[in-house]
Amino acid sequence: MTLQPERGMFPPILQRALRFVPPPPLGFVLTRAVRRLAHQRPDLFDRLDAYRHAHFIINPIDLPHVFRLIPNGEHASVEMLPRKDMPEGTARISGPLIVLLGLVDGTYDGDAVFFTRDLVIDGDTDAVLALRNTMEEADLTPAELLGFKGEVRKHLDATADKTFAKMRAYLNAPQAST
Amino acid sequence: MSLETTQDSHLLELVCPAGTPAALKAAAEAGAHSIYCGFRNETNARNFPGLNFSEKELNAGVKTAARHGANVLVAVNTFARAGDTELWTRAVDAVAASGAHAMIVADLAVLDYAATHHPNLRLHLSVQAAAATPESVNFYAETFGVQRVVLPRVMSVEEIVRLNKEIDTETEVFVFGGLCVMTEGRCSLSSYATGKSPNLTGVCSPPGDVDYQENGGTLSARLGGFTIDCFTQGETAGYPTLCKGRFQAEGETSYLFEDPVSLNAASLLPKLHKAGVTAIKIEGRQRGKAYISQVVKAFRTAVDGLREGKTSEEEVSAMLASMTEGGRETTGAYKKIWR
Repeated sequence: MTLQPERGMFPPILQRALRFVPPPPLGFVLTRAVRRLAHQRPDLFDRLDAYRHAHFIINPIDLPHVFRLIPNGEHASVEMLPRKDMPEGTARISGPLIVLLGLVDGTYDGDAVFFTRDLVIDGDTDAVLALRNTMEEADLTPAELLGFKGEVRKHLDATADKTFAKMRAYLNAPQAST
Repeated sequence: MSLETTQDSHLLELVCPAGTPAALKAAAEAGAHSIYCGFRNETNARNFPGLNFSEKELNAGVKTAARHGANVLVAVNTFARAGDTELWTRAVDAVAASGAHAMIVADLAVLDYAATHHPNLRLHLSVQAAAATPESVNFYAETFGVQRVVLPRVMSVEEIVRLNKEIDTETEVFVFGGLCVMTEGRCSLSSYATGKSPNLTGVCSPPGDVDYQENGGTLSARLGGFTIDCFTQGETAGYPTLCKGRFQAEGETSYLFEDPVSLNAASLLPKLHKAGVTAIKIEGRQRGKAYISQVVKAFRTAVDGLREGKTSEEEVSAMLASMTEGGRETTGAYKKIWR
């Protein structure tokens, strides 16, 4: 057993411990966040075209849970499911949590982490590309996604930036693209 | 500050890609002199899902770029369908109305429409037109008033020097990013595998026809059901474009046309400037903001350093190593070292 994290993944001991931690209601929080975004910027979801009805499986490989995202504008949903119940979906995007978070906030270039195989894509590549390009255009910060505004947002984003940078260094994650 | 005033201060114009308004903003903030983009339809050669601009977004993008002293160039560079040119002529009208600095075009019918209906619209000849001889470049310049030609990525620096001596048109060359090794605008490899054309519908190796399968650590990359390459555990992956596939021929497995590498001609900027090149272009409208920011910053530093006689080859390569397909770089045809 090694405590040295492998290329951005939580150390095995932490991965095992997380199996015993009750999951937070992330599905509910993220569903509200995506629906709020769709209400504020409906044009953004036009980029998805037919893929707004697609089922995207977001698979943080170092967590005991996966997420199913259906980005259907104000009817969007995000479900958190135990890994053992991982559904098929239209497409699956897999990688360490810190890499997936880096794709959301623009720290990583999707192609670059795909070429280095820190990110794995299964299923409909067209759908993944549409989602990636929509997220790129959304240009969201973590606090913005969760609906915070003004000074609180700035403070939370600054804290998140520092925390993620420290996590990337500690977890031996790929170098940030920005 | 307009480009007209900044152009005097740089030796090479840095032309950068934008697939979304957010990427356009990132390119402008990172120091692009010009930013190229296209509409969300078949009129441009990067017609990928979720990518590109609506007319409204283009109009706003022109203003965003102007605030940073940058110009917008709009690619309407696929070949119009015979008897069904309305999509292309509408795109030309929209570019003219947007206040964009220039339009990048390949098709004769589209060039003719633009020159006839919008005589004040600056025209750049797309790499898709594959114009590489004085005769062809001069034809486009004399017939349609084309003011700049984007050269195919199959020319050496020496060939560019010779060409520039025989034309009055500005030249623009690719210096970084995905490397098309075929004569662009005339390649049908992807069409054979997918039934969709890079030149007519704007999609080389369309992602809808791409799939990846991981089995026991080996990643297979397929296009239209054909396995184009397999990557063993730990090996960097590539996108399954046929010209960069690994095939068996005469009992040997190899990259027959080109390895999955990216072009990086940072080391050649002084030579390209000396060759009379006006503008250098970064490929990658399909890439994200992180790529755009990093690559544009690196090349802007290199271009600014040219005036002081600096070569920034090592700095640029170090900054961009993680951005390249296959994790490797090449100077492509510029040095004519291909097999």
